[in-house]
Amino acid sequence: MQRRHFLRALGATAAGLAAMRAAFGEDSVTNYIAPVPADTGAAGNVIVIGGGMAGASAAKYLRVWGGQRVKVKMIERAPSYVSNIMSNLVLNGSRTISGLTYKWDKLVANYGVERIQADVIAIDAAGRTVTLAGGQKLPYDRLVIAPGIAFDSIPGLGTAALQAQFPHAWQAGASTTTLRDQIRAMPSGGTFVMTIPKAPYRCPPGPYERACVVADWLKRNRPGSKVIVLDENPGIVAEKESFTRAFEQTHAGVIEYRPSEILVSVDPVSKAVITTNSLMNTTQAWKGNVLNPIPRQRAPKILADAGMLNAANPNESEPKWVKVDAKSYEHLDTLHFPNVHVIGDPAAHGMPKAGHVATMEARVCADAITRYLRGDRPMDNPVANSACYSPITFETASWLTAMYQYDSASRQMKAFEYATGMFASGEAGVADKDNFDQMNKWFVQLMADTFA
Amino acid sequence: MKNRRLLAAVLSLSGALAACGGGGEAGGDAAANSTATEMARRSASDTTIAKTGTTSTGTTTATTTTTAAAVTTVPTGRLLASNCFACHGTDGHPSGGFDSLAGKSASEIVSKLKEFRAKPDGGIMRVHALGYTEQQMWELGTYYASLR
Repeated sequence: MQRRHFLRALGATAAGLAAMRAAFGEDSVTNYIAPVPADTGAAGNVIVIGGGMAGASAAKYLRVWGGQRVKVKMIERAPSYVSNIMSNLVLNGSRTISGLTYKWDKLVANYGVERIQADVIAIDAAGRTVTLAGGQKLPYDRLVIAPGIAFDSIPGLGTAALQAQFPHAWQAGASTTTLRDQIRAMPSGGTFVMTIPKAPYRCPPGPYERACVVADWLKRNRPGSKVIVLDENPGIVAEKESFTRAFEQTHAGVIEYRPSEILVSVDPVSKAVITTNSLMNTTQAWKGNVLNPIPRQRAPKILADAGMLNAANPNESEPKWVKVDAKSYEHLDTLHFPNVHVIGDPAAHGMPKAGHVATMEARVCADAITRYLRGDRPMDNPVANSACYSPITFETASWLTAMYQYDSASRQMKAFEYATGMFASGEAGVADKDNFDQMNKWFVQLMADTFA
Repeated sequence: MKNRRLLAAVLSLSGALAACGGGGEAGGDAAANSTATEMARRSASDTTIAKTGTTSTGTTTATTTTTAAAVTTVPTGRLLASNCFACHGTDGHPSGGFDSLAGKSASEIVSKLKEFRAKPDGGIMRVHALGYTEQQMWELGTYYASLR
């Protein structure tokens, strides 16, 4: 605390910070590369599909914990990864997509991960092979599937051109920049209309964070503008206290929050989002200068095609996700899908779908696989944590975190009850500059642990 | 009660570890391993984990001690400790600005976690500290103590 005040008094420049670090001998900055042991007793071929937060972490830790006799092929179709985390800060101009772009070259150079840039078109669980576009089949002993998430189509936005014109930007990239440019082109007194899909979806606090960041920018740059938030859920899904405070106080008069509004369609001609209120059964058109409908989500097609979907959303019958045993992230149906592990967004395990927790899923999975590959069994009681920071303005942030322990009866992770009725979870008491600084530190380290 | 005795034993072992930390590197490793092995043996007969609702059979450590074929033993506490990597860096070597954990003694890490746990305004670290049983704190702390 004292030190922080001292730094602020100094007007903490980067150079000043470095000097302080040296003087105080803490917060050391290293470029640590974990060794890959020659032989841990584990041996085998592992294929990782996907190079996002989950896939990249799994590939790294399979090598670091498995050693050189665990051969890891990471198959990813994209030439680079764009972080979804922090991508809302592209919308207010504080970050750029190029600054959020990561490559896998350090995983290759430092840990001996073999990277294959290709599309996986089929998984043969019985034959233990994956097929690449072009027909090549690759065999595996263990398969890790981490392909991210898929988006349902929105009625009214049937063509690629319309989808580009009304981007959801829930997969960071060029569409994020398009959305930023649309926001910049708004007039003062304009309206930004966004929708939030029924949970579960990727990054539970993300849409509320976006509403805050956009409101904050509009307030400063396009006075008199409004952000209309149409939420399919009956209330704020995550960080309820922080976002309630943000909506009702910090961004009062700018954000208009409407729960239980089910997205019916988007009318690209009149530029309106059409919703039905699930409580009142009324239909309404919400016109905006910019529309940002975030679609409902499900596991990607590769998992559906392989017949691996086994978990539906509450009150729905159609399976959209892959329920796994959170001890190892293996598919629950080990008879039909032996040696198949699913991590990240498509996996259902009792924890949220988010980048930080996905890296922990990856480590639990990698630990389990390397134990299997030495003739051992996974640990019986893994612990995992979910943590994230959410910007509320261009210079303040809140946080949310929860600790989970394995529940052997359900084979899922459960929020840890440290005393009767008391759970190890919480959110920031206040959105402030300190949390914003912590957020930046967290992000730098999270990405370094994942991609370097 | 059994748990208290276990902790006392671990505490003294980690004290020994810290004491030989300044000596030969190999000695440090051996001490860390023997601490882990000792904890493994003891925790296998300890029932504290069951009380926390995780599992009552085949504890973490029991599995690692029964692998005769393994060339090296999986360090107890490594997976638990990896919960910290996202903020404190791979193996507790930070590059983002949070504290380094590698090489800290187990007792230092456990007492720090308990300090966070006790603070009502302990922030994000309070929640993390509340997420582990005491035995898990010692296991992850022992792992960091074994690193350099």
